[in-house]
Amino acid sequence: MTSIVNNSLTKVAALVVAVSLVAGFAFTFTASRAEAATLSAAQISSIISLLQSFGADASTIANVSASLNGTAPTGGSTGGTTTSGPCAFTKDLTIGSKGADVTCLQNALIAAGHSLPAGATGYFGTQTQAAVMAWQKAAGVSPAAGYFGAKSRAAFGGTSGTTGGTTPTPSGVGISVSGGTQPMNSLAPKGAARVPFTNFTLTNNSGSAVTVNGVTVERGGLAQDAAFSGVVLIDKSNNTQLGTSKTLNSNHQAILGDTFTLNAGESRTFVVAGNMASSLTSYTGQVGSFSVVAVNTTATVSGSLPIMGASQTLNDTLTIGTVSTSTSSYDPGAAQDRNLGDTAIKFAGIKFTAGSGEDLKLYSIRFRQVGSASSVDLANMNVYVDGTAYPAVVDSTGKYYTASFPSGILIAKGFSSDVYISGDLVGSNSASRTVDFDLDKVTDVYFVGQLYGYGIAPSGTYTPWFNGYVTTIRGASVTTISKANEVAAQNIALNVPNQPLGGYVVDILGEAVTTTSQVFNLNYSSGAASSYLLTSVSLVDENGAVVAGPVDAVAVNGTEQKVTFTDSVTYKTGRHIYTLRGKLPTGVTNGVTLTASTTPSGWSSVTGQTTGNSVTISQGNFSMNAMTVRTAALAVAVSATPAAQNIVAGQQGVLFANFQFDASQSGEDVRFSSLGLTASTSAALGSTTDLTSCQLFDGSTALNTGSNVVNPTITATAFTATAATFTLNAPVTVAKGTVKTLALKCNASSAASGSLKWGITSTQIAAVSVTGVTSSASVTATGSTNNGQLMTIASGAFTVATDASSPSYAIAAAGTNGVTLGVYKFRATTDSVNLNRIGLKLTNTASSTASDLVTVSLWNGSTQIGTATFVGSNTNATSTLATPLVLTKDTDVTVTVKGDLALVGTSQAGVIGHLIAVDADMSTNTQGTGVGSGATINGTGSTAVAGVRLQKSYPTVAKDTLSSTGIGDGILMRFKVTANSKGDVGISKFSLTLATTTATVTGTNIYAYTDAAYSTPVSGVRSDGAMLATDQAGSVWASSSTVIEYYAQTAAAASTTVQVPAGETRYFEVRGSVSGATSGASIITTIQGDAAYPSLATTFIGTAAATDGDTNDDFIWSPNSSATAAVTDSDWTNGYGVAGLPSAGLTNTRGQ
Amino acid sequence: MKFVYNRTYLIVGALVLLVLLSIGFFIYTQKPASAPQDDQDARTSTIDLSKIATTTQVGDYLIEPISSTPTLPTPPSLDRTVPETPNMDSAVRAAIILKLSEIVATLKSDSFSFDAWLTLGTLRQALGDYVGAAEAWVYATKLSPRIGVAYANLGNLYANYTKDYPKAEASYLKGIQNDPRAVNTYRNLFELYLYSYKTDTGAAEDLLKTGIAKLPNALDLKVLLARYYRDKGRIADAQVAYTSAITAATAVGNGALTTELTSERDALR
Repeated sequence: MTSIVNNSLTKVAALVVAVSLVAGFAFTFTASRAEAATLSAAQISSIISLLQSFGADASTIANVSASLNGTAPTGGSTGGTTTSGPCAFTKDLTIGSKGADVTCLQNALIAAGHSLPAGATGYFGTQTQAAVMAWQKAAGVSPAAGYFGAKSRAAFGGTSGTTGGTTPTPSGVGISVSGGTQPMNSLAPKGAARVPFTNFTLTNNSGSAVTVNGVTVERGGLAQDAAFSGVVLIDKSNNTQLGTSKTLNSNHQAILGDTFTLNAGESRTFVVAGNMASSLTSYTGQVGSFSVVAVNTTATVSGSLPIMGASQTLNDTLTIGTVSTSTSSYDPGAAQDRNLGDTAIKFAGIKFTAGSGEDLKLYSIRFRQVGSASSVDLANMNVYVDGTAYPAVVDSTGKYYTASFPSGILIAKGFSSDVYISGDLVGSNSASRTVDFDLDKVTDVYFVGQLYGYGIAPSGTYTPWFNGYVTTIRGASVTTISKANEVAAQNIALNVPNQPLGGYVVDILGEAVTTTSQVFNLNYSSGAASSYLLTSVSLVDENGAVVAGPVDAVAVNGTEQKVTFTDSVTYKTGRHIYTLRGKLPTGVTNGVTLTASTTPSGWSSVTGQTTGNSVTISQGNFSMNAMTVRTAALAVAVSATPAAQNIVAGQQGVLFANFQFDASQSGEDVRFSSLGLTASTSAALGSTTDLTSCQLFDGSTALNTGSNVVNPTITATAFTATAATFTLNAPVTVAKGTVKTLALKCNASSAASGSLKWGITSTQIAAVSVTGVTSSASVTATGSTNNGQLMTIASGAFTVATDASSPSYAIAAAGTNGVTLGVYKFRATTDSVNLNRIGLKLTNTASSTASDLVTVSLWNGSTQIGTATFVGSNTNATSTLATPLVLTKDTDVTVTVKGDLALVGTSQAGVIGHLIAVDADMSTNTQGTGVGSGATINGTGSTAVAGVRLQKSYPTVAKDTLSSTGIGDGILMRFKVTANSKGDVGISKFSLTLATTTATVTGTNIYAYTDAAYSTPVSGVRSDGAMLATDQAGSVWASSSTVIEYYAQTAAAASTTVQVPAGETRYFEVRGSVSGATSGASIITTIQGDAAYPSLATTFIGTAAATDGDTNDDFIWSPNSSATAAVTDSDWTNGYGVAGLPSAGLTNTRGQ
Repeated sequence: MKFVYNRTYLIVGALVLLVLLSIGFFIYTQKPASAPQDDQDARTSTIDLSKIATTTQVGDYLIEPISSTPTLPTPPSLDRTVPETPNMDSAVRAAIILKLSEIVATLKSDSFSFDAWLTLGTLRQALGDYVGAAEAWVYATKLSPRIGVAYANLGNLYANYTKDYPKAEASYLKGIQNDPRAVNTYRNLFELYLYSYKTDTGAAEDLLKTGIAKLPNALDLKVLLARYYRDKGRIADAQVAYTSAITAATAVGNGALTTELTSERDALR
């Protein structure tokens, strides 16, 4: 091993010396090609590889290579100066550096598209550092730390320089080939595209274009060909690939670039790059290189070959980014036809998605147009990337469209970009040609991974790799020439210019077309057209502009006529409407139709305006909508509306009739300026002047004003007719084809009465002086007598009634405010009414007083409209409304009456047991004003509210839950009594009825409990809670109608009460001894309610005994008005109105 | 191992035990025989401190009873200025003011009178003194928090006079909580929901349904629900509700109402 080391060291030392000598002498001598030829290419390659393995910088390697190959070396690095492009760098540049070299670097960076907001300042700051980092990433300089050292200087020369700098460009005839600053030695990872190996420049030194038929390259170094999926030639000026990707032959060679042309004087720099195999497992660690060994052209080539650049180490472990593709949503998605002249057509679109490995930048994309269209057929070609347009530059072949993005377009990993190519169709002779944009190869899109800096290509092997849809260029074509419904069938007048004779629609695609002659036939439905020739016939477009004519019709075939336009008429693209207009001669029979027709296929010299192509129209003859020849006409009638109705005396502007003037059958507009109408009475009027200020209205416009207003003197006698003439301020015009309605309105005096109609007689119609507006022809109006609808003059009125939502009878707690006492329903008839005041009355004066109510308020919805207070002994009160309540005619308006209830009890104003019912007082106390008439109107009708019973507190009853079976346990029913929170409630008596099926029940009683579990008996009665000291014997029950009574008793059978505290509930259970509780047995138990309040006329409340003496005495309870009431206190009432206990009772059915 | 008791500790322990027992006895003697009733007048729950030993001395410790006087708020002023009522008939105003002076006199002698506070609020509201009315009724709710009428009156005041709808709703709901079968409170809260508050919600409908469930015989609530559905264009629901109302009207023998409701139902479309 030692010897090996020594041996190796010796070799290395010797080689270093040798290289140094070569490198050193290289500055002094220019070795001839013959001298250099003493070393084989393989030997030179080995030396270069060895140098590279030692990490020699690129310039040194280039100089050595040049010397060994006998070409001119560069200035090398020995002088300490690197000429990188236009800049001369003498030192490393980093933060803080200053000087001309910094300025030069900054200018170069800016020119390369890197951001330096401050511009070229000569100071290397953070902006410069960031720009250098960006450039280093793009140029593959690692690490991309923003430090501009030797690696960067070398790379800078290769990326920014245009003259190479390391190899002088030979000159002479033909083309010269030279190397340039070569790519850095680095890695060639698996799957990487366009891994740069060798730069070289071709310069056409001749005075004419030179065709190059490819460049032959040869792989060198210790690597295998299979490690490369292909080798490509890249034009550095636009990062586009020339020719296809090639694989290596058995000589490890390939010819790249297909055929390309170098124009006279043109110099282009190329990169030989390798596309790496997707797996390099078998080749990892190998070091490969490519040399340019030949330039294939018939021209003379000068310069030294081979040219070899970097040696890249194959790497299978580094995973670089990926890009996947799909069809873009901007892709047409199918073959399409587009019209010549269409713009911004999307021809093809593809979507790129960056894989998760690294961010990508797209630097260029090249589409190939394989359709039959030429490049001159297309214009404004752009490639859009995410909506931004980039010029797509077509190459000299006219087929390749390349868009370059100098700074790259970032696609963050995982994100996508849509790319599509778009342009205009402009070729004058391009009709029927096709446009078809493909992407031939995956390497036609050039991505660079932003983490590792390698080229990345989508996967795909087909050619074309992306096959776009075909767009066919459509020249002028006529899709439609037909009748235009927009020019509807209508009436046309005689002897009036510009009458519509017919219309047609023309729909042109592609380009405008011109015709030099068109013929239109115009024929009447009856009669000889030739006898009534049209004159001044024009063709008018939709904007009213005359495009042809005017010409006069000429007779043809004896009975027909035609017009021929020899004007050059241009039909624009798209759908457009054209109308024939002309003048009909007098004498044409009224009602005859005129039909225009034409035969487009016979139009002359139809030519596309862009292409100049002759356009064929296949559309044969068609007819346009027929026009009806009408003389001026007017029909007069009376509308059925307004219907017969009541109108209000005193109302102003009452609509009596609508008169209709129908010019729908007129060939022209007509006008008239006066009109005779007739008023026909039915019931006698109050006077001849009941109606005044009669006017005709056209909408809201009065047609007779001032002295023209008619104040008719109508014969008041029943069934008489009076004519009146209405002279209009100005003639009223009725447009042809329309119906105009004029409304007759008059004022009715407040004393008016009777009934009448306004109409028009046939004589009056015939007398109307009607004139054709255009022709000035006199027209006789037509129509028959129509007296109109009967209008009966009446007075306004309104009524009141109880509304359905008025509350039912209820017991209310004293002291409650806002208690709804009733809801009144008002309804105005004949005329709307402003209700000014509402009278109220206490209906049950025997059982209510003013003191029961503190105050009353009146509400319409949520709006309080008034208040009222019953003062002293008054049982009437009036509420004058602050704002009148509008009772719209024939509409129900509800008013809710709410009361604030007084308190009851000792020293309180309210009286226990009073029934407070406030009804509407419809004497003059309820009064309004007619909206139309202004007359004062007293309401009629009445209300009958149910009223509320005033009590300090009150009970509510509800059935409690109990299983529907199990009657054998003796429990017949459970119910509960709850006292209002205002106060305790006493109970003296319940009543019930029983109806049994199969079962028999005896010994019934009602048990009272304080808890919902029916476990704690109330106190004061029998210890088990039974109300009766002794259970009811079975003998008290005779039938299902037998009312069985249960009084509250002490255990000693003395009368007592069961008290329900305020807001609390007591629970009651009806129980007895049940026998025969077999299957099918059931018992219906009903707690009885009361159907009316007890007859306690003077006190409205009585002792329990007194209440028990009333007919309605099933449930006896006390509101405990002043204190806890004993049965002997006058503080008891019955169950009438108790919530939850209807008069029919509360029933429970329980079976076995 | 023998425990040696520290005499001082024993004495202190005994004293602590005594103190605890004393406190326990004190609490026991103050505990009412049954759970306090919330609806009792507040004054009846006042503990008579005169019946409680003021001090109990055990050893070196002094035990003092904690005051348990009820914490009723200070009654609102009874001497508010009566607002002008230009639109009120002078006789009416005089009558109300006379009642007001009487009730104020009552309250000055007995500020715990729930009824008097209730009436005071009503009279103040009638005179347009809405702030004073609210003070009176709020105080009434403090005196007897389980009585619903003061809440119902507050709801009416807030809903129709001061237009404070959230407070109106809260007051009405409290009133309904205390008196679940007070039909008028349902009706008033329904009007609040219908016209002024939460009008775009289902609150009005829900409330009527609750009211009808609690008051199956309240025919007017059924009519209101039917018309509510009708006016909302919910024809199918209106049909059902009208039918229910018609059935109820028929059951109570109100032929006119039956006819009217039937007509309204037939007019649905």
